[in-house]
Amino acid sequence: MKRRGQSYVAAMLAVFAAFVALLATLPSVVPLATVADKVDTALLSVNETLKGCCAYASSEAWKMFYSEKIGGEGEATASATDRFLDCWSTSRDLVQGYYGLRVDGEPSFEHGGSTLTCKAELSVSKHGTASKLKWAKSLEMSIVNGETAIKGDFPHKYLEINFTLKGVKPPYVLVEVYFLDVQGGEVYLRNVWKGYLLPVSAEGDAFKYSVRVLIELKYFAMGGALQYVVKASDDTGACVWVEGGVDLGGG
Amino acid sequence: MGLRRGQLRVIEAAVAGVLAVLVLATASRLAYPRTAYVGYSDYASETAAILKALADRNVLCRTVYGPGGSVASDALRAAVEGFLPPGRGYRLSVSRLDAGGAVEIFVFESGNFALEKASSSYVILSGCNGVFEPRMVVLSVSGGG
Repeated sequence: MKRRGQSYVAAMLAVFAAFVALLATLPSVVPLATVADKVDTALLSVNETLKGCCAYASSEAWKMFYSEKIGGEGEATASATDRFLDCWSTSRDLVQGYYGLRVDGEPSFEHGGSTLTCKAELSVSKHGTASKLKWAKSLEMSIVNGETAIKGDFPHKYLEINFTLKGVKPPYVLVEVYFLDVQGGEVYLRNVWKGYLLPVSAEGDAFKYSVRVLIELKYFAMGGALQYVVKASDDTGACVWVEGGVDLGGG
Repeated sequence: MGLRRGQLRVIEAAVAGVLAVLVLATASRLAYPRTAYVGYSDYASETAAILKALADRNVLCRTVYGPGGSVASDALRAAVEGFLPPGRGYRLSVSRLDAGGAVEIFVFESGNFALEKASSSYVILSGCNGVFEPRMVVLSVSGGG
């Protein structure tokens, strides 16, 4: 009888231990998966906020260029850098707060008109575990000089601008063309063309684009050189631009 | 007779074990609500993957900051639904973030969304198209209702 009682207790303990062991494994798996997902989306958030700040600061740089071009108070590009850092600082605090992690490292922003570079080498840590994050974005634009000229016959002359872009993902490239205009003694940049452009060819890591803009008669009356600015924005709104000029000739 | 009694005791032991597990499972569910859903519903990695795919294509940025800075709700919903199997319930929200907290500016919940079976992921954006206004996108997915 004593042996039966012992086997009864042993069997009960074995079954109990097996189920407890099975149950104990479940909660240890789920929270780990959840933490991994959270870290993934935290890194995604860092990435997305950097992307947004880069686009925002480049847009601010454009506003400064525009203001400077029409004779307003021009500010140094460093101000756009400050805006980028302010944007990043706010975003970093939000990411740290909502994900409960720590983000170290300072990203950088440089805008030279036709070139844009945003870079970051950060460390994202949670519960003592750190993940390194390297992020970079660059855009570069240049006019193809030999292929940019006034074409057609008066009065339907048009300006054909050929330019190359590096760092964009077609087809999301928004192009704007501005002519430097004078009206009532005031200088301003007049938007004469805006639209999404598809590349005409790929040249190495750059894409070549071509845009034709009809030149209004009043520009021929003004004579001299036609000053233009071509601005290209990618799908996040990050932008670069180039300036150029063509001789209007005798009409 | 002795053999039958032994068999009965083994069955009794198994039943006792199952009862003990049920007690533990109930306690565990109270302590870790997700534990009960492990077997059939854990969509956290799915929601994270959808948000990542949308972000990588810049769809998230362009739809969360649509024309005039408002949420392009139809485009955002269509983009999310493109990644979800038919019949899967989901809830999608966009909130504006500032020092004062989060203000929900867009929310959509499918008819078959079941909150108690849902898993969520979220991503924070700083802006897009020259706009600087931090926003959070939360995607929750559940099985059918």
